[in-house]
Amino acid sequence: MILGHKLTTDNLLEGCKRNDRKSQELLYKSLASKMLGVCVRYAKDSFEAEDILQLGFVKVFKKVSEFRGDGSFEGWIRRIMVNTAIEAYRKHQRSLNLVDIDQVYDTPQSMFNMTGLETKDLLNLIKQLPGGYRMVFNMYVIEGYTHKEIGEQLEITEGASKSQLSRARAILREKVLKMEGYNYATHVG
Amino acid sequence: MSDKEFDKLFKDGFEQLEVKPSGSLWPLIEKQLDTPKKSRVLPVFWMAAASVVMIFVAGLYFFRPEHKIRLQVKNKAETPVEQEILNPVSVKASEQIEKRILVQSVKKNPNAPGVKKVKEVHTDVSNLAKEVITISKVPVKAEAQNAPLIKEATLVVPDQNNSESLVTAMSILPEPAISEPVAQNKSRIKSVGDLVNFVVSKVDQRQDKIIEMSDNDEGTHISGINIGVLKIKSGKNKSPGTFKVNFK
Repeated sequence: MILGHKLTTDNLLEGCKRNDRKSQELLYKSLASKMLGVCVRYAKDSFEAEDILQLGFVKVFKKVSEFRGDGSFEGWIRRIMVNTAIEAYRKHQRSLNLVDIDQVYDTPQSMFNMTGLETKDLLNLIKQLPGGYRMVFNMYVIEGYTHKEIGEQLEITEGASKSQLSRARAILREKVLKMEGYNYATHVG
Repeated sequence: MSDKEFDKLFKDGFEQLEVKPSGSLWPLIEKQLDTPKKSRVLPVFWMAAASVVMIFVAGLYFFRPEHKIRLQVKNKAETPVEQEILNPVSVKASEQIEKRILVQSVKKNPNAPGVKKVKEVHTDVSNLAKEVITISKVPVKAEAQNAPLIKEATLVVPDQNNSESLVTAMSILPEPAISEPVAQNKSRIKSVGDLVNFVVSKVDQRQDKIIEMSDNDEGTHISGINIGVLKIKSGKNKSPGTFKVNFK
């Protein structure tokens, strides 16, 4: 199954390199939901998330010839999405819009983890973080960037990245505790 | 819970996160792939081209000849003959007139404005009368239909030596290629401001042009500037005008 999927992605890669519209459409359709899952973590709302997705895919198709095949094609696309999201954030930051809109996304799948918090809840927590904290947290924790890389990408110092990460964690911890308490209370009572 | 465990909570949760796009984005993506990305910045090339065009048009506007050169010949005796050349009917008419054309325009008045270029002329009138004078009627007719003025009438006179004598009577007409656009521009472009607007509108396709000028009682002034980041525009009704700085 996994092998089959990999094979088709590779076939699509060839098609995309030939600029074949059908292959591009199939690639988009097979990865859109997954990549939007990446975008929503960075974007301030679902509109921006879809904008990033759209921009990201256009970039993927225009730059596909630059993909050399080190690492997976999907991983490369994911990195493009993250970079597009970072660019969008930087543009956004320049327009000094610091208002965070917490918007509930309807996620088609609800997944549970150890603590009983759904991914949707986690996503809402992330959305409530100030923009900079959200970027640093996403990049460091989920994408695995180093503080040095984050500093370069967001045009902040390494130290600022570190301190923003720890503050983001502190805010999230507090909220998780609150939510767990709420969940616990609703389950018991 | 350690930082690592806490991070893992989010990482595991988000790694498999999939969100279905609300609408169909594919058509939009396809559209962007079809049309090359428009550059927001006005390219330097176009700026350069614009200034060249502007200087050229300004040159035409300011240095156009004050008096149009007319076909009218000072010598009154010449005038009816000239008109006969221009009239397609009389071109066909008689050999005598054709002879007169040659004689009068070439012999009597070689320097008249109606006859600019004379390459080779047969001055012997009696000889000419005997010879067949061929007049290239087709171009004369064609031009005569378009305008009452003929630019050029070429008379080919084969002489005894079979060499061709070419008589070219060229009239200086007001150059239509130059005078007409100027006249057109004149009807629309009444001031330097209009001229600038005209040129800019050809180059800058945006709604707010890079520079906009307008006229009022005091004269021509700049009413709008749009250099991407900086937008200034004074409305027609609003006196203060809008000042917008766009950091996008």
